[in-house]
Amino acid sequence: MTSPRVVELRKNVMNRHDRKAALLRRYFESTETCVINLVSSPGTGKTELLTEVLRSMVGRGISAAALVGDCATDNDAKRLEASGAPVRQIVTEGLCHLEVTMIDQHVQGWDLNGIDFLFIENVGNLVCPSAFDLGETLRVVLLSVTEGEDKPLKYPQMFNSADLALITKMDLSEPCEFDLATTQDNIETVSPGITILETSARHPNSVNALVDHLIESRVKLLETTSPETTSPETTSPETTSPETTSPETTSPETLSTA
Amino acid sequence: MHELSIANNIISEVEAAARANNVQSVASVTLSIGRLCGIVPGALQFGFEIAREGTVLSSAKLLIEEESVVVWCPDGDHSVELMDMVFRCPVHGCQTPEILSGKGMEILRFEVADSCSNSQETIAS
Ligand SMILES: Nc1nc2c(ncn2[C@@H]2O[C@H](COP(=O)(O)OP(=O)(O)OP(=O)(O)O)[C@@H](O)[C@H]2O)c(=O)[nH]1
Ligand SMILES: [Mg+2]
Repeated sequence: MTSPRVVELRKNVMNRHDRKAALLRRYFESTETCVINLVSSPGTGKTELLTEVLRSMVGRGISAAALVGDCATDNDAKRLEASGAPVRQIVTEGLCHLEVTMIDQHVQGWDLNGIDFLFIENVGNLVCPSAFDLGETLRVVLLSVTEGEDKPLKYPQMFNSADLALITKMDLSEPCEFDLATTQDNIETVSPGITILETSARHPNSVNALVDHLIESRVKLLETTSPETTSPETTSPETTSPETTSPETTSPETLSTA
Repeated sequence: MHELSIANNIISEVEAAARANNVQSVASVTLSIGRLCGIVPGALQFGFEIAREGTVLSSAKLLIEEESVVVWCPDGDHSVELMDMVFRCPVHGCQTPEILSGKGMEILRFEVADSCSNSQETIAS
């Protein structure tokens, strides 16, 4: 006789997950570490480009580190280590994406104070990682010139959720008859206003331009970080490796205004 | 197949709420999923059927409501629903970076499988 009992829940499916991601983001803010989640299809060139970015950062005296997710091997971790930066590996055992609990586990006991950039190479997959917040500061999506100009339209969620798009393997654009304008247009279609940079792991200038862009982004983000998340102990200028490069972008004065 | 991870999250959220409400068995769960989440409903159903085994949801149905993508049109000062993933106002043609809905993934409610439970006074979320 009684109508079936219904419990109104109104709860975000990713509740626990997103809460953990928010906590981790607060932690990364407190250590002033810019955490960059790299996402793309398999083979787009995440490891190749990241190795060069790390090498460039190490060369400029910027402290950077990487966490790499891989379904089965440690190949990528070994390649990244050649840059001289500290690298940790996450074996996902077949899982198609990284989740925040894995990031949490792997940053345990890692003193991120003084690490300006922590890169996370996600599992090669243009679909699954888009739904999973890792607590990252920036999500960067990569698309290579060999994949076809239409990929942003086919994977709109991933491109839409990203903060920066990189078109990789630009050194191969001619033999691939790559249409840059159409690709840029397609990215803009699914993610209006996103910054798009062209890169090649074989062209040091493009790697340096990307590094400059990331340094600038980090400084801007530190300026906008809400003051309550940055207690005095964690924002003292000494913890922000003052020996780093260009004084105008990473000077203690700029950082302490956060 | 990230839908299996999503299904596991759904199950654990509903299990916790079922426990809090003294519910022994769940008949159905209703979800709202934004079209920008990149979730394939069929794959989620499949994952749900695997993940529900041995829980209070073991015979529960999964009902999925799709949440459309609604954006703000800055030129026309109005909200507008997008039928595809082209982030441009269909009326004014301008870019529409501001997303008002379509990213949510929410468990709306669940229905208790009728056995002996009766009152509503214990309902909490
Ligand atoms: N010519 C050229 N080749 C590149 C470039 N970047 C990557 N490659 C090559 O592309 C292949 C795949 O690159 P990876 O860096 O392994 O790609 P990935 O995105 O890390 O791949 P997964 O981790 O398996 O998803 C390798 O053979 C690289 O040498 C580039 O800028 N130019
Ligand atoms: Mg790789």
